[in-house]
Amino acid sequence: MILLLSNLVVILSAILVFLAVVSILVGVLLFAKKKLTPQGEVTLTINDDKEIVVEPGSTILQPLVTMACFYHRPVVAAVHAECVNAKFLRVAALFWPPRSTSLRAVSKPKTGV
Amino acid sequence: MSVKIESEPLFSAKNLKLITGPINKNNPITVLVLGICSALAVTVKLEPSVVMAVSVVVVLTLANVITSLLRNTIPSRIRIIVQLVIIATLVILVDEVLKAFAYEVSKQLSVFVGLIITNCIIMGRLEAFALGNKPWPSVLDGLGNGIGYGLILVIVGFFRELLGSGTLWGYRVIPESIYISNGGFYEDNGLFILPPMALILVGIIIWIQRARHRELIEEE
Amino acid sequence: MENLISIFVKSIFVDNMIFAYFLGMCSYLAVSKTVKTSTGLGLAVIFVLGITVPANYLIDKYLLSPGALSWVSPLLGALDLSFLSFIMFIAVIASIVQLVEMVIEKFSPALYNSLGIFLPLIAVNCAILGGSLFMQEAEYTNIGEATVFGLGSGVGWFLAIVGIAAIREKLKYSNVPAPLRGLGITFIVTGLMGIAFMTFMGIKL
Repeated sequence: MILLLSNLVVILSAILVFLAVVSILVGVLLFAKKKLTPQGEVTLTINDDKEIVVEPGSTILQPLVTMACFYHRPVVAAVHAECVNAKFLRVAALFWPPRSTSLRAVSKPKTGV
Repeated sequence: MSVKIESEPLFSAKNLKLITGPINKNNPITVLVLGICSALAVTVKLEPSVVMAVSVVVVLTLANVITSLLRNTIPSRIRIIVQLVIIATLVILVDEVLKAFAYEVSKQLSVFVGLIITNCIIMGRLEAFALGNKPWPSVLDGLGNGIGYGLILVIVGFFRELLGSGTLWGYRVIPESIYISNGGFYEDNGLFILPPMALILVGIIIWIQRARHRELIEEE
Repeated sequence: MENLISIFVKSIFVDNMIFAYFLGMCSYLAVSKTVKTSTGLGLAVIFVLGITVPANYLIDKYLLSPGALSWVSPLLGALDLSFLSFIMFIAVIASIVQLVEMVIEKFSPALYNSLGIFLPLIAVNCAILGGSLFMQEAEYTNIGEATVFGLGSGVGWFLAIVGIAAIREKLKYSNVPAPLRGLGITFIVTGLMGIAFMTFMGIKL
């Protein structure tokens, strides 16, 4: 009986400690996210006619791929040509408060891409 | 009118490939370059190597199965955290079992059992395979990769113990009488007990494997 | 003070994370093709180790080790929660890496551009968890010792990866047999470097 009770204490305190530490960590992270990353939205203007609104800090690839699917335009190819490491593109809020960022296709997209 | 989907027989050729592939051509250590961290430091003797290999097989297979069963319910944003929790829980269980049933070996393995959590093989296989496949192929994939990893561990451990201490699994293999201290000519190669030797042995294993399978050679 | 220096030097040379314990080998082998990427990753590892080891030391001392919870209430003094160490350490490491990434991105975009890609990679680097677990095993008496140990381990890792990157850059011009090229020769060279580092084993400070 005493063994059961003491085991219960261990289990309860383990759960409490775990929950406490994880909640603190998550709280700190959320707080830091609110304070450190720029808030609001950034408007991307692509090829001078299409405008999309994304959050800062997200990668460009996802909305562009969606667009390329919808409009059958090789938008993604233009971005690949411009940036060095397309895998880790970040949309930074270049100005504060966020304004429009113009992303132009500087070279003709490769055919067949 | 219903469409009957053919389910693969349990041990079809495609499923068997999941086990045999990682043992040779897709070996996680020598080809995929994963899981090297905890592989080398525990291979001083054969027994810890085997225990470590068995632990990794168990954790990998169970983690694969659990992730595969949960794959449709995990939200994408917390995917990595859920995987880490699954792996960490399994490793804690394995660690406690080892401490209970094989205490001396677990003392030798010390922190390296905990490091199975960050073992690249497990995270790698969960991401690459278990999240997109059914439970049974995931079991086979986990078994195959675990056995491939264990094979390298056992080979390295075998040579290191045999040539470094003259014993195998604690039992003397090289007879005492031929040692120099007893009037003979043989002396244990102390270099094999040192950690760097494991790296050189794995390098030699890679050399042999690539000489036999020319397609694995890297292009410059 | 000289205790701290001794821990620092020991963790760089004698207990080198790569050559003595082979921790962090996965990213070590993958990233060491050029010196530039290696310095980036090495600096990130020093940074993360220097922050996570003291943090985990505090968690271990005040929450997890046997009898640690006695500051909450003396009744809990008999509790031993050390079985939670793995999960706690990993959670702390992952969160700190995320935090560090956000802070660097805000305060130093230049540093972020050179380091940024490696930071998520480091969260599952064996060396980081290994540093915390070794710290737990060594049972340091105060947080200064733990911090010095963390920084020293990071510097040792940094030295190792920059060294092998420099050698690999030169190896490209050598006549290595085809099956050994790339991965095989890197393993053997790392083994030889490990033997060289063993000369430090006799240092007494």
